Amino acid sequence: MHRLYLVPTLLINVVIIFIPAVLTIALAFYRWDGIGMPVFIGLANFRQLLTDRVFWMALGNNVIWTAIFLTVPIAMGLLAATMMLVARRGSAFFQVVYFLPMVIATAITARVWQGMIYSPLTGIAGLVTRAGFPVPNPLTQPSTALYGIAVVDLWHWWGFLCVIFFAALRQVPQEQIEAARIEGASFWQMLRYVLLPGIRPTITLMMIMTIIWSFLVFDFVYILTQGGPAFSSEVLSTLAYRSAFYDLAVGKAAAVAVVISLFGLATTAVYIRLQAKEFDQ
Amino acid sequence: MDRRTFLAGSLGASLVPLMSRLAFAAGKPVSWWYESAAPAQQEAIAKVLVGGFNAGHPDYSLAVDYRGSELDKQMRVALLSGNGPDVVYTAGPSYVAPMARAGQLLALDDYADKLGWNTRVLPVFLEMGKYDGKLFAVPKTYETLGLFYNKAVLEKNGWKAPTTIAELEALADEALKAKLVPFASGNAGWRGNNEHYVTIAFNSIAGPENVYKALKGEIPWTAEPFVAAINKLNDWWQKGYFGPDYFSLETEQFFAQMAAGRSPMLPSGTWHFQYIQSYFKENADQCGFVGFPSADGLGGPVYALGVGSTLSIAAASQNPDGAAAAIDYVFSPEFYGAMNSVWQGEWNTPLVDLSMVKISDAVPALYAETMKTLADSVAKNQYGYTSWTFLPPATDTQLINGIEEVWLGRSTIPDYLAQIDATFQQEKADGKVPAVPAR
Amino acid sequence: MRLIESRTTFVLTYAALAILLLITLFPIALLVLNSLKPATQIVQNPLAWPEVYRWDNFVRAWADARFGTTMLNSALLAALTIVLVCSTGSLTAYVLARRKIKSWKIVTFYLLATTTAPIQLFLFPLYFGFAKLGLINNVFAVSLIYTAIYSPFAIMLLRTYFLAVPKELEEAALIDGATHWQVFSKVMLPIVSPGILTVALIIGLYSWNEFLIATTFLQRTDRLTAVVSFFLLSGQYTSDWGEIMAAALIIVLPVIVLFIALQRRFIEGMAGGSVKG
Repeated sequence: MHRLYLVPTLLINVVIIFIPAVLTIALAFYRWDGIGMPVFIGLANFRQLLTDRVFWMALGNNVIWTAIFLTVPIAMGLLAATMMLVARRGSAFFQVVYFLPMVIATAITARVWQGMIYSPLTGIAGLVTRAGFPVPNPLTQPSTALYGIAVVDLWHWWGFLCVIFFAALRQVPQEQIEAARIEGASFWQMLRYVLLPGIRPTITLMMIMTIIWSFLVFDFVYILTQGGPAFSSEVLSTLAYRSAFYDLAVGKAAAVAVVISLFGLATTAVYIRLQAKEFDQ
Repeated sequence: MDRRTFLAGSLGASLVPLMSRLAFAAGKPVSWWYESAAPAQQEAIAKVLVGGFNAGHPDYSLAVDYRGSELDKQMRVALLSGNGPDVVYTAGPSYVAPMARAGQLLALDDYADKLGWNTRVLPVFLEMGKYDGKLFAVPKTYETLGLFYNKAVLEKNGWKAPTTIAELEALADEALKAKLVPFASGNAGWRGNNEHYVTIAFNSIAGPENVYKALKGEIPWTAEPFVAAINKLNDWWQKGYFGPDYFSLETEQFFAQMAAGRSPMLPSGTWHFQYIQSYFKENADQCGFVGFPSADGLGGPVYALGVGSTLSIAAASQNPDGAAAAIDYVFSPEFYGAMNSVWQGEWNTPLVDLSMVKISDAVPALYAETMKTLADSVAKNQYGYTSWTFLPPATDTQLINGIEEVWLGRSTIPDYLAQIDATFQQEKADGKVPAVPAR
Repeated sequence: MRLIESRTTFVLTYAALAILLLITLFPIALLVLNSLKPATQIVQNPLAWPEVYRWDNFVRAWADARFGTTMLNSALLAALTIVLVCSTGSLTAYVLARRKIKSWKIVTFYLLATTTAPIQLFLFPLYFGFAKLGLINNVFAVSLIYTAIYSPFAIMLLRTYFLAVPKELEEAALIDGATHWQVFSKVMLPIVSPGILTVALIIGLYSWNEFLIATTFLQRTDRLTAVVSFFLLSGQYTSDWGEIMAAALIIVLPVIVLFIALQRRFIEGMAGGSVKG
């Protein structure tokens, strides 16, 4: 009887996600331009990816992206969260402001940074350049484009982590903190030996989610640079999207999507295992 | 595909939208999906195209629907499932061949006979819309690339509009010394802008004969003339002709840069005519245009022929006669005059006889002259080839993205051309290369 | 109680928090400031105070981005998604929280796994399939996609609310002769309604802001969402940054007001769904 309760959710999920996902995996073995009949070509799509410079560049960028987001925003979030714990007064206000970028649509955040900050014409970069300190638009240099995008995503994202860590920190038992304080622990010692271990599960979970999300990043790259210039900021998800809808190579796009999923799969397994522990409690 | 990212300021507020009057048209519906158009341009379409057509054809009711920059993607899947519009609008002849091959388009030969397109439309263009000897598409507009320049800036510095590559380079070097950006250019709004410069290099440096041979498969894209052409283009980039902000500037922004005198020249397509009034304001006559200077031995400027969009009829259309009537209307002199009076460069239909056309006096005479020069060079078979018109889709993408890699030192010129050639040969084998009229 | 007593540390802490505050608010301030300026002044100095207040930026933005239509589409899409997610999600969350079926674990893990699947893994066949069925440019179809994507998150969040309800309540109702359905709809739902409200807020926010699916599946002029029409306006139709920022503010302002008014719900909802299993 209760089984019926699951039907709507599972039906929608299977039709929208599961079946198309299976089809994507199948498509990865075909050549299809979205017009004619798909042609079975075995592993050729994957073999082509192996020799495709852009694919490797995109994969590399995903790895760099993961590395950035595993460190910078988590460090920022932890630091700010502990500082809020110290400050106490006003922490509710800081928390709301830091979280604010999360509720702004990515398309809008991207445009504000693009036009108001990075643009050499209408942005702060242009203003500084006109004042005699040339600042190139980071999105237009192959060496900095990816980092230029990452900064925007960081701005959008770190506050979310900060709020989560702050919530977790407040759950650290007061007695532990008090005990450490009586023993004369400095702030850093407190952080290192009491607070961080206290919220370890939260940090681990956020790191796992970061890895998963880093392979899904799309919006900011697509809007800010479309992967350019010269593919320097291409990531796997934009490569897949462009291949399918602009280069008429749906099979190749499917192959890239499968690769993204493979990378996600291992992490997802860890994620589910961690969640499983929680369920068993 | 196309390159337009704009607000047609020139259309202004003088147009009164006729939407309310059109909403109740009662004829048999004709659907047409258009790409993106700025609000003012949508007004022009509502008034001149939809309003004009429906007024003259009470039996039909034309409706234009805007599908944005991803029209092509939508059209492709819609045709695949038989849900497409009656009038099929593509981004150029290279998009027609795959659709025609898949049987998604109606052959237009009968309509062309009956409605007199064969005598009204320049034959070269009908040739380009053919697949397997049958007519499947008619070009909606044609265009060419050249060199816009700011007369005031040239005068002030004692420069002359260049006619040879050597003069062009001399002028650009002088401009660099004067702290100007020689070429107003950029690709922030539309990455495809890259291909305008590659097309210029191929036609004005390697020459149209070579491009023709390559398109026919007689020589590879790795041949020496193309290497020289891309070499030259790369030299220009490395010298800074395209300026430091190429990847940051949108089309209108770099046009404004030339209008404001921060750049003497703007090498690009004739669709830029639509910006002259809004950016040069009362000094519209200060904007000059010449064919792009060509290398020695090519004998004068080469007008690379481009078709930014084509019109066809869906095989699954419920109302092919209505769709044909709408296409026929677009090829009338009245429509040409009315539309080009308010919106230049996007509705330059390939009519044989432009003598009946009346264009508003507010449009710079230079525009009409330029279009006439282009029509003449096409009639004399002396035109060049734009990449977005004559190359198959994947090759074109390769050409657009690859040149950035060359400029930014991430790829070499031989590699770049080798990749273009490989993709082209593959697509040629697949029958995806658009028709190329004999020279 | 405080972690540390040193006054300098205290001052430094506030200084650091204030700097982070400025960094966060700076781009938003630029957005607001420049939405009131003429394009020519933005080009001169994006930081300067407006010389004249160009309120007509908002009028033009409203007209050019067709917000009259597109905001309505966004609202409709968000409302449909909220209804679908909350109705289907609360059913599932209840069953999973109470372990009403034997396979609850498998279902939970399956749903968790789909949250981590890249959209590209199912986007292409879905797109071609929807096209075949004539579902492109169909707001309801898109709300189904959103429902599939957001449901797992909503279910995990709602599950925690159901878990907090004492089992005795349910048992008492059953003893009183209520059917299973009555227990769910008459007893459980009213108790977890704060949770449902939180989920509705978050799902509404996500659908209002979503870009990739909306831009792919809704492309007819009269079906665009507000965010996509903003994207088109800013990328293709105008380079007047005053107007673009005005359009941005029109979309963002209701969200920010709602967020500030209901901050606790937003923060707990968004943070909760991903932290707790």
